[in-house]
Amino acid sequence: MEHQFYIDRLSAYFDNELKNEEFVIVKEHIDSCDECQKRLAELEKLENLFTDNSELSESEYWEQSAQKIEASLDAQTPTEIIPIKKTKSSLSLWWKLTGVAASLVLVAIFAFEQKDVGDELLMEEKNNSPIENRSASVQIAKDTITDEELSLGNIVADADDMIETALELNQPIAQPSQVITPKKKTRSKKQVASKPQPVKLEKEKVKTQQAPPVIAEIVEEKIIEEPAPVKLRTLEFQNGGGTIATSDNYIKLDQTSKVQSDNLVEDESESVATTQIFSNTFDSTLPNKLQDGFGKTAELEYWRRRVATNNDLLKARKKNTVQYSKSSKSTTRQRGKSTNRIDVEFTYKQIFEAYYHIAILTNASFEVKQAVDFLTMHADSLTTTYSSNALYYLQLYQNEMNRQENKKNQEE
Amino acid sequence: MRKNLEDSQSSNVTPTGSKSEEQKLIESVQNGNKTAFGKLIRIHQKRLFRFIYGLVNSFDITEDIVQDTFVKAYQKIETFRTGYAFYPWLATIARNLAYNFIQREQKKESLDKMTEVGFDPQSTDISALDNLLDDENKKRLYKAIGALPVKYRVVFTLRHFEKMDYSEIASFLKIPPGTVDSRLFRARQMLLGAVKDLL
Repeated sequence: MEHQFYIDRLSAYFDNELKNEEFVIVKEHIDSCDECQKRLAELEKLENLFTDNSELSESEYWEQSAQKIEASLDAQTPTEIIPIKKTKSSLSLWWKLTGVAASLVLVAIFAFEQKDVGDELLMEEKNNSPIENRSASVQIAKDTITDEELSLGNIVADADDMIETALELNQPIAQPSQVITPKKKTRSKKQVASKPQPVKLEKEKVKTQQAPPVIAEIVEEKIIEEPAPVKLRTLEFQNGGGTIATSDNYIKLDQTSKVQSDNLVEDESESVATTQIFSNTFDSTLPNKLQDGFGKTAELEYWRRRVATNNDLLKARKKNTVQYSKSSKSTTRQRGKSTNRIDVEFTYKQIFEAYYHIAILTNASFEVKQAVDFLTMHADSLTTTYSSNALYYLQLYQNEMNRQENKKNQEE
Repeated sequence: MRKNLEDSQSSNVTPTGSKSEEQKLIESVQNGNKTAFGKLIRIHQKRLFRFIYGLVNSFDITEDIVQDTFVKAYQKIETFRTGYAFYPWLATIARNLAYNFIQREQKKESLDKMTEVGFDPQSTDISALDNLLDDENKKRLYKAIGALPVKYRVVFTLRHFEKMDYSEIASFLKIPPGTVDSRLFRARQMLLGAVKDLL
């Protein structure tokens, strides 16, 4: 092994953090290597230097500081909840408001359900497998969201459940819902705004029955003709018109689909937007393969393509992002450019998700490493816009690995 | 994940043996004695200050965070389980506050710098800390730590001042243990370069 290999591990060796096998290998090397012994000695000296010289000296300052803190305690009692200085921001207020709004929405959902609105239509739709599954996935999402805590730990667990349930269903719609579910959950992590979805869904169902607009009629026909949802989406893209090779086109198309979705089921418009991003290079034969019991190879290929497509998109969008960053110094922000920023963020999320699945599915270690490195790099960037999402998938990956390890151990 | 994090943090708290002076003080505070809390402040503030300064590299911000930590601890003293060491509990509150601060600062960075190390207040108040360092070597060492990029400085501080092991650091910063290893390695290399003549 190269000498650098041992040098890189000296720090961990010094902290006694190497695992058994690695520890033995590195120790053997150090015993026979003068340079490594010298470097190890330097680390020890450095440690001692900082230990001996990090103590802060006695000063009047400490007494003054203690008195200042005591004075700030005078206004408090141990049972009172106080705001923490400087951590209070408009954001926290916003969160509180979101919470209140969310609880109101929940009440609305339950109230609405009790009215049994559009029962007949719902029964009809339940006979249609795509919609049945869609409502199943919505139900799953709703269950997740009704969890008041919304702690990340719960979300991770829920995400696993959601993916598992989606896989168990193994229906045509299950594949896209598997694609979309983590997104929903990500939304629920950020804000509870996704909660109104189930309500809107039902409302729109009623609407379509009472006064079906022309476009809705066409699409409904297609639902019946084409039970495979991926195909359905392909058709919708054709309706939307144009390719999405450039971000400009993407925005245009997005707007078109929005117009359509006004007449469609509201929930569907979002999933359409999700799939639009990778639809242009998406091999139309792949979804069929995926539907056949989720072949592992096909699924892997699907995620790989998604990475490739989104990387292409990212390149195009990043050019615009640079322009956006330059212009962000001015006081007014142009709408189009800010949309682009959101697009970039969204594209990153798509890539993170795809890499997560690649890491789980593949056996090729270099590919796993590439995926994990990518996630780690972005998680480490400490730029919360992306890193929280990268971290989320990293954590999800680690959880999955732990789960598999535990399973193995149990089997043994 | 946050839940798990809290679980792992609580594991840092180690039970102590017989009822110490500190335990009596804590019980006294829990019974409503504010003066006893003043004593706890005087016992722990120096160590806490050093730790937080290592994380945020700014005298004023450290002052604020230390103050907030004690106020928060006082508010939550009922939830502290007697029989456990007080400092680790305090340090957990403090480092969460400090880390929140760092993350907020990071958030202000532009998208273009997403892969770079952004936040570093470049301690303009270094002279304030100098008053608390009675030795030239100490001043140099604190300066060397302050000059580290934030991601290296945070890992080094957690390891060196708090003696946290790699998995604890990884869990707190939500990064893989391998990354902790590499960051600590880099931090040490940089520090070695900065203070080589003192070794």
